[in-house]
Amino acid sequence: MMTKYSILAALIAALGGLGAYLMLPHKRKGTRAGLAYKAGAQAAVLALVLFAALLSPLADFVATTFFDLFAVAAVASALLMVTARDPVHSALWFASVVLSTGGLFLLAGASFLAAGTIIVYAGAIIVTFLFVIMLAQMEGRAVYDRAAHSPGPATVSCFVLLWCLLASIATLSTDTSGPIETREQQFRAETSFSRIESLVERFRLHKHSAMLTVIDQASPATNRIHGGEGAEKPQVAGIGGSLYTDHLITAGLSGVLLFVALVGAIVITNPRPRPQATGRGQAI
Amino acid sequence: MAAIGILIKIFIVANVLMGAVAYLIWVERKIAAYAQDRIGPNRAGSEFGIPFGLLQPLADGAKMLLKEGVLPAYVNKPLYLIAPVIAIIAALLGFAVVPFGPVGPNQVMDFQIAPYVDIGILWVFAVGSLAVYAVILAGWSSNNKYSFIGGLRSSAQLISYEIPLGLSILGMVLITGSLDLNAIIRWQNEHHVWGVFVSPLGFIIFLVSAFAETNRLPFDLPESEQELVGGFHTEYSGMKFGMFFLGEYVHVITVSALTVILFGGGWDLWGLLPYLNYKDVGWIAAIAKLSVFSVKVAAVILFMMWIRWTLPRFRYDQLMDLAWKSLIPLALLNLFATAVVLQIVRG
Amino acid sequence: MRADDPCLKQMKPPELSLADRFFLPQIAVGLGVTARHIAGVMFRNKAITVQYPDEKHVPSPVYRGVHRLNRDEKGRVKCVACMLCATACPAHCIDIVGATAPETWPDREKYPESFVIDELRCIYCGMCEEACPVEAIELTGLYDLTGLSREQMIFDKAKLLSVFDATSNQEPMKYGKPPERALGSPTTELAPG
Repeated sequence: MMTKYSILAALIAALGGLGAYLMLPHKRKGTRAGLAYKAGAQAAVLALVLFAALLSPLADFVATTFFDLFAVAAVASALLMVTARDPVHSALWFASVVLSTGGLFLLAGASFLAAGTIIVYAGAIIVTFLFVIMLAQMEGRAVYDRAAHSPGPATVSCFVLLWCLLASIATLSTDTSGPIETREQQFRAETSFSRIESLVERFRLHKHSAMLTVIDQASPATNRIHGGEGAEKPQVAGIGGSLYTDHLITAGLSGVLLFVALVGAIVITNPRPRPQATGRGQAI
Repeated sequence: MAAIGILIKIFIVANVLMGAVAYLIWVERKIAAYAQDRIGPNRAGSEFGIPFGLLQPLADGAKMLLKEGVLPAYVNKPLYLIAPVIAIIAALLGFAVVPFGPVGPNQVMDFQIAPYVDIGILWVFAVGSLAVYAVILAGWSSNNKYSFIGGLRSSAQLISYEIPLGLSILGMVLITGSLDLNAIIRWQNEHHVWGVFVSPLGFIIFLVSAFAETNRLPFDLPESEQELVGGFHTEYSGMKFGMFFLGEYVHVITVSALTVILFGGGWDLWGLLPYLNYKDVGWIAAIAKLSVFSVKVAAVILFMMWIRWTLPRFRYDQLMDLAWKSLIPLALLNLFATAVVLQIVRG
Repeated sequence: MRADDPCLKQMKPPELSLADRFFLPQIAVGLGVTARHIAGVMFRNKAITVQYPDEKHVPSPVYRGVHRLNRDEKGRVKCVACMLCATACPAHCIDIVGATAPETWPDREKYPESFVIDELRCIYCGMCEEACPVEAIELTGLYDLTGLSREQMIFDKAKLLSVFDATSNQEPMKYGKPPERALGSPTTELAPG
């Protein structure tokens, strides 16, 4: 089982790496540029199909279809974002990646994280990217955007990393012989990558259909911040509580960092008037 | 079965929304005319004895659908075609978590497309923030200076106004203790206190930011007719333009519904009428709540139109000043004050 | 002129009061103004709209609409083909072909054999009317000038005379009374060709 997934992961990584390398814009533009792009695209599509096969069969339509859709869309958009010739297209593919990731978060029951990701990344950061790209490059693409800087090492390192990820997650697959009854078992089933049986098994925790499970995951039943004593905290309150207890110093430090960045930005945008040669030290 | 029920609900809600949008356009034209001492559309339907031009939306819709779909040769075709679709999808998706009637396990049905969503209001903001893509893409792909400037303005404006919009509701979220829109209505209904009265500053900031988020006057810089010839939708015609229009009005409905839910008590009427308690179940209560809610939403929409025909457009720097120098500090102040008061009250 | 020139008067924008800087009171005032107008139209019928096919807009007596070629009391065209109007026309839309007047017309030497005005080129400035020494060409109050083709909008002598026939009872254009032929019937019906 383990080796099967490792080999499959290696195949995916190799095919994907080859595809990505061929799809990247290269400096030497020959007559075969279009051909190489097409070949790369085919390799990448093949890798994506294998990747989808690694995920899970279409055991339950609603549950797995959405997961597979979002997962494949995320990876494909990421590839297209890296290889797109036009920076505006790159930014849009980035938005697509964020949206797909948001969908995956939603399916995993992390609805706050999903909304937060979409608001912060798709709604603000990428829009700012677009704003800057549009403002800066109205006359066409810049020279340094027409070719990848060092496509070979980048592709190799990225896809070796991807292979490590795939292989290591694949080995996490749990024993799925019996039904899942405890939360710990469910957690292990969730973290296992080979969700072929485990996802289906996981529905046994819920007495209803698979779709209800998905809806239930997307919308946890508790929705009060001020929960009763001893009750499990819902996720928004849970995140808040965790941030202000377990990670208080981290949260404070990142706040300070952001504040310093804000001050720096203001200093950069509003340069103080240069001091005159005679009036040294007058300008403050 | 549950899936079919949900699909039917989505179908009905989407169609009612579209019909409402068609008549909102008629209402807007009427109000525009009245505010300028004109009469407005009053002919369509007079052949069939229907007064006030009430068939005008049909005529408008038929015109939109039958017009030639012009695809300019110089546009970026995929993005040009996808932009209006994004506009309408983002607007409709945002409505998914808006409860327009009673929602609960004991109720006759859930008057909400996606009930029991923990993060209701965050969802609206997440999807609403995607609507800006429609404007940016339309402006960029049109390959036209005016459209482009419209898209640029839109991106800056929407990013800026999302911040006060998000901050302004946090006061109400702190008070009611939930991000779920149903829970917010229930809190107001329990106490018979509307959000306007417990968080008046938040209400004003929310309303102003909502005007900006929906690109309505006085914040309609992305599509200003006078200087940008329509802005981001200059190059669009026929139903592609119609989709932007539909999207904008669905957005207006969503924002008005949010205003009513957050600050107008939802279907609460201070207990003046029966059947308007969150404990009431049954069809009569459901219809009563639905009616009260609809009337309130209609009132907010009328107010938005009234404002539109009253105020002139902001200048661009004024727009940015208002967001960054006035609204955001005020919203932070509101949040801080609410938190302090709540801490004192709750101990 | 320098910035510190004593002739320059320095203007400062008026100081905004605190209420003005919060916008809201002024917005309320503005809403009141709009509300007054809306209520005026809704309840007191104060709309200024003229419902065109049902109601007739009465143009001012100096309104410059379609031209007409006047006839004298004997029914002859008044024009003497002096070309002053064609010369005065800034749009060069008047085309006159003069001919020697018949023996039976002792009061003039020439008359227009053809008199064509291109109503599409015309800018309705009224210079021809001012230039005419015999008050032969006039601009009427007809404002609903329509045509289905460009050819229909090129008015020849017969058509221009028929405009006179249709509007002769309004000479001079009386203020307060709409031109009778003007409404409900496009001027293209005035004469065939």
